[in-house]
Amino acid sequence: MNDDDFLRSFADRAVPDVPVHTERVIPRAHRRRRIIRTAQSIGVIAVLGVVAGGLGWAWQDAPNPIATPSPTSSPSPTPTPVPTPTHTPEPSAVESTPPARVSSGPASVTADEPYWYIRTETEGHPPPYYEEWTALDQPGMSWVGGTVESLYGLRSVREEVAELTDPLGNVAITDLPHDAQGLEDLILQGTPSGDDASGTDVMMRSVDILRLGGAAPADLRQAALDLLLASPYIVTEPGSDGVGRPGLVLTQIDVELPGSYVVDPDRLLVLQFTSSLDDTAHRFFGEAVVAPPIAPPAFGPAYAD
Amino acid sequence: MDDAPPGTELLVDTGPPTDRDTEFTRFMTEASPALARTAWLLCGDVHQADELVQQALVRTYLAWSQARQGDPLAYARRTLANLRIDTWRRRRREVLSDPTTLPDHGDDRDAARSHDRDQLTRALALLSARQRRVVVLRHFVGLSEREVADDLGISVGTVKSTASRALGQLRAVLEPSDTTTERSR
Repeated sequence: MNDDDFLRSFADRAVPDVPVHTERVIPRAHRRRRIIRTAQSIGVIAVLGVVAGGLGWAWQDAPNPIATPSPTSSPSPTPTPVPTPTHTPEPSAVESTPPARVSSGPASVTADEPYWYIRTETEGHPPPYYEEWTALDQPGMSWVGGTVESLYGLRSVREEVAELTDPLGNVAITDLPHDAQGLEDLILQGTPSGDDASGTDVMMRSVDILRLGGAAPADLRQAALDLLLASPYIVTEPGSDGVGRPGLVLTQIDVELPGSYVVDPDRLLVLQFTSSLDDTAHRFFGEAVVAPPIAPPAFGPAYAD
Repeated sequence: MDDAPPGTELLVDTGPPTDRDTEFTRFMTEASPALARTAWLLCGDVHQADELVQQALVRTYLAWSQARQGDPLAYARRTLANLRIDTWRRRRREVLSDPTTLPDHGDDRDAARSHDRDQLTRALALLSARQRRVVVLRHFVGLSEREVADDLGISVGTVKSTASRALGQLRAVLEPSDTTTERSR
């Protein structure tokens, strides 16, 4: 039996039946097409307004719920957040109290604390929490709970960047553009069609960069946040996450991947993601630490491609 | 990119299907089982696989006049393989499917199947996203190295080296330690 036969035979035994809700596909496609056309129409109207008036105010004052500058324009300065709770959690829904931290510039790993630790708490779900340790040049871990048995896999920034730039090939994170326009260009090169009509790819990859947290350079994360703030598919407003941490609430208006994020624009961290599909909030608590609590097991360098 | 025939932008979700919709529905019915299997191998989760297949089919529908001129299943599979998995939804599922919390299985066959599935999930989870894509398309789906390279937009050499490394890791996890079967590549 060769490798292919072995793997397919194994898959035949192991892969479960996956019910696909195909009845949702065509309605989703119709909605998406309407969104794309609406966004394109708004862009045309805005451009015509600028040309006709010769003034930038036409863009800003248009009665447009998704009116933010085009991703190709210079991003506007980050607005100062005014904490306005967007969600009052039920007492039972709050699993823990976040560590009290003073916002003091971008959060980052240091030579002494090279790992970025993130604990993900899902509203309404008790522990074990999902935890991960990520380092720029060293393997980290992802696990559920806190035992080796529940280890889920190894992670590193290198893998995240390979994924981010896939299929362009490996690009060192320090080589990624640290400006919004350059970053957008790189992401677009990596999309199968070379464009991003729905804004989904730029949006998700920008969030992924922010999601790396303090393991990624601060100016790279700032570029990613600038892209998000400039996206015509995101509505931004001041607010806070479910446990009261202030930030910017970024709501996606692309119905294909609905949801909202709460981002701390000072520390450049994602605090919370809420999926509109089930209205469940996932909260992230990150900090720089010395090392994972145990050494990564010798599963092989899964991250080293 | 939008190649919709005139008038379709006025369609409502509950409206009567057009010829295009009828044709695409037939395609979906035939293609979705194979796409779902590929999707599960890429993400290891039934719900996420459903979502990935739906996303791939939505994009295929939007480019249907282009896709149907060639091999629409290949178009959909290529789209699927290049979709970025929403890691947060994936991680939530991981939390929900923590194997230590799964109930015992009463039936031996179910237990064996569950064990195989858990083993395969863990083995694939140890691969990077790129390795997983390559090995799934090359060895589970059975595409040629050239086809995988084209689908993922990488070189044939990268496919070879990535698949080789990934296979070694999969073998180490999936094969029993006492297996002496000689495998060819």
